[in-house]
This record gives sequence, structure tokens and C-alpha cells, in this order.
Amino acid sequence: MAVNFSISEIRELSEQLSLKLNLPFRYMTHSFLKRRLGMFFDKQGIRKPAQLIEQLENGDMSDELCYFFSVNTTELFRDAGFWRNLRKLISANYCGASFKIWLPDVASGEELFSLLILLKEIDCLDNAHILVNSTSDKRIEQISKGFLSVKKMDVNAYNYKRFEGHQNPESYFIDGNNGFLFDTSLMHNVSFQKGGIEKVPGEKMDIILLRNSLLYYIRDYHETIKDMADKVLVSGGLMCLGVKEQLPAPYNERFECLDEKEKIYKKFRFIKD
Amino acid sequence: MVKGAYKAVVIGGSAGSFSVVSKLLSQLREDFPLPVIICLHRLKHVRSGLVESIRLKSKLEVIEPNDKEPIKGGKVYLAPSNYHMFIEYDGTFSLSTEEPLNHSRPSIDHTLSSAAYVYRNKLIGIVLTGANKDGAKGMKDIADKRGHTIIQDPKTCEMDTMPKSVARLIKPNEVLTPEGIVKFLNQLAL
Repeated sequence: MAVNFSISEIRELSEQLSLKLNLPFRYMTHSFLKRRLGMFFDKQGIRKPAQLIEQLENGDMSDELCYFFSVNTTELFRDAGFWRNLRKLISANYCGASFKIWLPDVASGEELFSLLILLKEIDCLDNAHILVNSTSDKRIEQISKGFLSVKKMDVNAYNYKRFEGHQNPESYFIDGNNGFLFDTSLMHNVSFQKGGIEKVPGEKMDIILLRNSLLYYIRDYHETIKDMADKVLVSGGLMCLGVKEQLPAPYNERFECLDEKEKIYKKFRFIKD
Repeated sequence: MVKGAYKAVVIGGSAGSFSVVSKLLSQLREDFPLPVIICLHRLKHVRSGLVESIRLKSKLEVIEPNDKEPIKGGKVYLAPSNYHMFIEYDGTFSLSTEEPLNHSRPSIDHTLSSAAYVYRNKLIGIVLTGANKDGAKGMKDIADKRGHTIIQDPKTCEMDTMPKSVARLIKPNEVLTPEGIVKFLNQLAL
């Protein structure tokens, strides 16, 4: 039987989770919190909010909650047109020298694996230094081992074809015991840091992939994160959002839209940056 | 029917529903006052085409909303491909890439249930022709909140699984032909 939360219970619980886990639960949308909390309570057999807070004293349960709240990217090369255009931009502007890419909120690895395949196929993998944030140790472990759900391989292969990749997509994976494993030798320039979307890198980044990460947060918080990303991004750097996300005013004074359909933005060059 | 009794219309459909939705929107009055929120099962890798085709017939503006886009009366909103679409208390849409529900993303149940939660008894829920049970749970949520529930008459459906699944869970307020649904909705604009 699903647990039904009142509006005030959800608000209170999100506040408590924010304080307890130092993550922005309080800025998540109401519909997302209601749905995910309901599913998590069902899965764990929890009946009351107080029971959850009590169980979070156990580090494993805290990590499980963070794992559950990070939503899968869903598939490799989701929005193949985006990846084709990103490939063009990186080939034209970045491959000659070292550059840095930040993925502020990685859930299931597909976004990272897609990026690594792209870089490998334009012979740019060694130049790219990639920083990946994730809120859960379990996620980081799965991603760093290259775990990928076996259920999605057909759609992944189809997307790869639409991406117009140069290899047999299967060449990037080995058949593991519990699913497919991504070729981890491609991850030699990838660093992971445990933390949420607000844990910014200590250095400037050339490209930020923030696709579909903000969907689960309220509109006001989007501005906080976009301001943060703006500060981390070098002048002339690229910011990539999901195809149904927006970079509204005042960002149009700081970013040029390179691709309206695929939501790729380039930060203007500012002298003070 | 009391004017102002409803705040939104939410419609779900799958196999065969494109032509029904096109017909509804071509016959809906230009001054229709409510937002019409539509969730249709669609090919997830085809991002364009559907909204453009629906626009050709509709008298109302048809929008595939971006995340956190405000919901306005007199507009038609179509759930984008490969995203779930939810309604928030602040009158905006939230999109999501969460796992498919009933093998579907967008899932009709998700859109209908979130609309029921926000609009409660001020919502009209409509389920059209379709080949699976997605939408039945959402319609139950609308009925539980005392919203008004309508299913397309199964006799007029290309595939009747979807409206019949609703009828197995609840007794809908109305069972209407596509023409009957248009007539019902147009009364809301009078």
C-alpha cells in the first residue's frame, strides 16, 4: 500500500533531508518529491517520515536514498542530434589542446559513456579531463566499473547508429555477469567527486553538460545553478542543457545560443573572466 | 454546466488517437477558456512532426512545453516525446526522464494523476482510443478527487483496450463519441 503524504509532510521532509544530507532536496519539485518518496518508502517498507529520518543515521540507507533520487539518463546518445552537434563543436574547437569537461549530476553513466565514445572517435580522448559529480557512492562505483543495464542495449545501439558513430557499438562493451560493462580503459582521464549539483569544481571548465538534471528542481533554483555554472565556465565555453530545458533571460546577455533545438549555448568572451 | 466549474482538461490516448485529437481540436471553439493538456503515446526518437501535424487542424495554439513552462488557459499542451509530463501546484509543467510507466514515456497515468492531485474536482479527464491500460490508474485518481471522467465510447475506438481498462476501474461520468466529447467541451466555453 503506497504511503500518502500531505503537502506539509513533503515540505517538512524535504527540509529535513536537505539538512541531514546537505543536498538540495528542499528545491525539488513537489511532484518529484511526492513520487520518489512514495516509491522509496514502498521499496524500503517505511511507513512514516520519522522512520526514514531515523534510518538515515545508517550511512548505507543515506546512500541508498541518494542513489534512488538520482534519475537515470535513460539511454546512450539520448538525443542523437545533440551528440552529433557536440562532436562537430569539439572537433572544431577543442581537440588541439587540453580541455576540461564537467558533468555536475551524473546518475546512470550513459551521458558519460556517450561522451567518452564521442571523444574516442574524434581522437580527442587524451586531451579531455572530465570531472563527474554524483551524490551516491553506489552510483560512482557502478559508473566507474562501467555498469550498464542490459535492457537498454537495443535502444543504445539504435541511438549510436543515429549518432553516426564510426565503430560497432558492441566494441565498447563486454558482456558482464549482471549486464553489460563499458570499456573502462576509456575512463583514464575521468575523476569522480561525491557531491550534488552544487559542489562546484575548484577550477574553470571548458564545457558543462547539464542535460536534464534541473528537471527535478523548482524554477528559482534553476537560476542558482545556472549562475553557478556560469561562474565555473570559461569565457567562450559551452553549456549544454536538455532539449526541453531553457536558458532564459538574463542569460541571453551572457550566452549565445549555438543550437536552439539541441540547447547548446556558448558563453560570450568577457574581459574580466 | 456551471461556467468556471473546471480549471483544466487532460486527455490521454494511444493507438488511433491522433485522428480523434485532431478532430477534437479542429472543432473546439476558438474561445475555449481552459488549458487542454494532452498526453499521447508516441515514438520516442521522433521529436518533431506530431505537434506540427496537430497544429494544422487546431484552432487553439498547440505547444510542446519546455520544463517549468506556465500553464495558460486557451492553449493546448502536448507531452514531448521521451519525457514524462507532470503538473505542479504552481501552475507549471515539470518534465522527467524517469523510467517508463506501462512501457510508456510519456506515460498517461503520470500526467493524469499529477493533474488530479493539483486540480482535484476542477478537472475533466478524458481517455481516448488506445491499445494498453495506461491512463486507467490516472482516471481513477481523477475520479477519487471528484473530477469529471469521460471515456471515448469503445464502439468508436480503433483500439478499445484503454477506455475499457478505465471502465474496469471506475464508472466514468460519461461515455461519449468523439462528436459528443466536442459538444461537451464546447459547452464549457458558453
